[in-house]
Amino acid sequence: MTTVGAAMSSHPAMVRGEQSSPAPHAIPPRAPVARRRPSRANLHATVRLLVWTALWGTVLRNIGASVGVWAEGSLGAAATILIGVVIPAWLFIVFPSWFAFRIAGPRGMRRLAALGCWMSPLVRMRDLPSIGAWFDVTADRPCPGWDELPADAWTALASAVQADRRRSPARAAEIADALAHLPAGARFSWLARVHGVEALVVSAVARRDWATAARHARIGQGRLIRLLALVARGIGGQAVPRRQLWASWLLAPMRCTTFPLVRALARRDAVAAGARPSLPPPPSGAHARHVALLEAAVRHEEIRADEVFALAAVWQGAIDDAALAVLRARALELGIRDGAARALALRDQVLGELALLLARADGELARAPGHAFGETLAGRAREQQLARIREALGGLDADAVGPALHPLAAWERWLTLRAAWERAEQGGGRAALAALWRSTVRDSLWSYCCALSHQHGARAAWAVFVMFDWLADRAEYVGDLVAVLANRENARIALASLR
Amino acid sequence: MIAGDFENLARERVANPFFVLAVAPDAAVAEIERQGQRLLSELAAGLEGARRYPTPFGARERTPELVRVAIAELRDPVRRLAHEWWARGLADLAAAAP
Repeated sequence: MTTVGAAMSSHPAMVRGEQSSPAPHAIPPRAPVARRRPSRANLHATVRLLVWTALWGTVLRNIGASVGVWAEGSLGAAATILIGVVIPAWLFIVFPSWFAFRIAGPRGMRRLAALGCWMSPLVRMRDLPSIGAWFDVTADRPCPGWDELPADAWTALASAVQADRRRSPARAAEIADALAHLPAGARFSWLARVHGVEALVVSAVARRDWATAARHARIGQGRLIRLLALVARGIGGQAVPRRQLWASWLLAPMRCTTFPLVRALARRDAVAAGARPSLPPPPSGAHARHVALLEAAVRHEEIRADEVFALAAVWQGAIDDAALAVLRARALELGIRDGAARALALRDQVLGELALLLARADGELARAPGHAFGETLAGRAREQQLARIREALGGLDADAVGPALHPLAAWERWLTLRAAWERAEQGGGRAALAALWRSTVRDSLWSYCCALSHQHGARAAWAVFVMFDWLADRAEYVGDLVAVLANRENARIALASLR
Repeated sequence: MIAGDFENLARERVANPFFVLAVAPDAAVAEIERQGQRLLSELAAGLEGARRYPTPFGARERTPELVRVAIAELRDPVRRLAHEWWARGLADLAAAAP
């Protein structure tokens, strides 16, 4: 795949008077191909099509023949359509993947699951190795061929499941968020949305992490995900109509497993409708609200910047000069010499933790309240966000991209930068981000994407397309039109090699 | 990195030595030492009541290591000042709880 970066490798482009384009690795010229031969993949696809045709033709013929002999012409039009069209169509289209993901996969029959996927017209030939790896990861088995796999939605989901099981929910959340914002053209198949995401949602539900379950459910589809999203909403405190809840349960698979959950939620709602029990009042003191927000962050719940600023306003009264004087007096009682410095250190510690919360919160930092405390806090949060971007950028070294770095691992490194940048963008620090973009982010990430593309080619096309598209969007945000055009073109080339 | 930071901070606040040892923030040093030794003996004897300690955010597990760390933290006046300040602030919530 030739990217714009590659095309410019011999003549670095000048952007606004500066040498700005990276100098990516040049692609070695390929020898002209004299005669186009059918590739191995095409051969496999042809064999697959022939097997389908032979097998399903035989099945259809046998169904038609036996039912026709048995019915002796007594069937009506509806029954004939059901037996002759609907059932064979279901058998051909839905049954193989249903068997693979609902029967063979969960029971650890990997080969049978792979065969089911091979027989399914809903599964593309090129997705089969990645689906196989996903089966291995979900069954906690080693995946021998992982190094040869491409980066795609299935391997990304496998990596998210792995992160989730290694108690790294932040990484799983980053992957899920990136999958939720894929550009048009980056494949995220229906089966991956149904079964791949389902594994993540079920895992979060199993450990009663309802906030995470609801977040993962946003990228999924299917009856079970719909039911679990509804349950997560109900447990999160939102109203869930009982009729809708039971209807979703009835339609969803795993009814025996989910029944106690649905019944408990329906009963709780029935009790609440009769006489709503008084909920404990939210903590009112600065200390308690502070710890409550920290715990919400640990549970990966959403935190609004407004909430943090409201807490900061409460803290302002709790750590004012009078409160510091009390602390100084107590320090003297305890025999501490530099009581004033200790009291100030405590104040600074609170400010630091608030800034950490604010850097993690959703919403604009520009809306900081007018008082000095709020402004100091917003300033610190911005500094932390920018520091996090610089830190993430350290992992994106184009020179370090080699055969040993798997395209998916490279994509995951970018996820850290993406999360940090988008958090800062939400905070509204456009001027600071524009400066950072021009000084480091643009060229480093550009080089990184080009190096990845040159190193891994089509295996990295999905990841590279997503990253170039993101780069183009960020360039648009900071007003770098040359980079917008170059990265859109690179994304287009990556997409072409993806198809 | 950020999730780990929050986890450590939240754990540090909830495992306040005054909550772990179940003593008031203005307790004397001797009282703290005595309570710590008593809790260590109870934990060694496997008494059920000593295995958990109440906090404003619900009961948490108490271990001998946690008790030893709490005693050590309160021996340092500078660290005690900080823990005392947090414990007083959070004790208001505990007092308001039903």
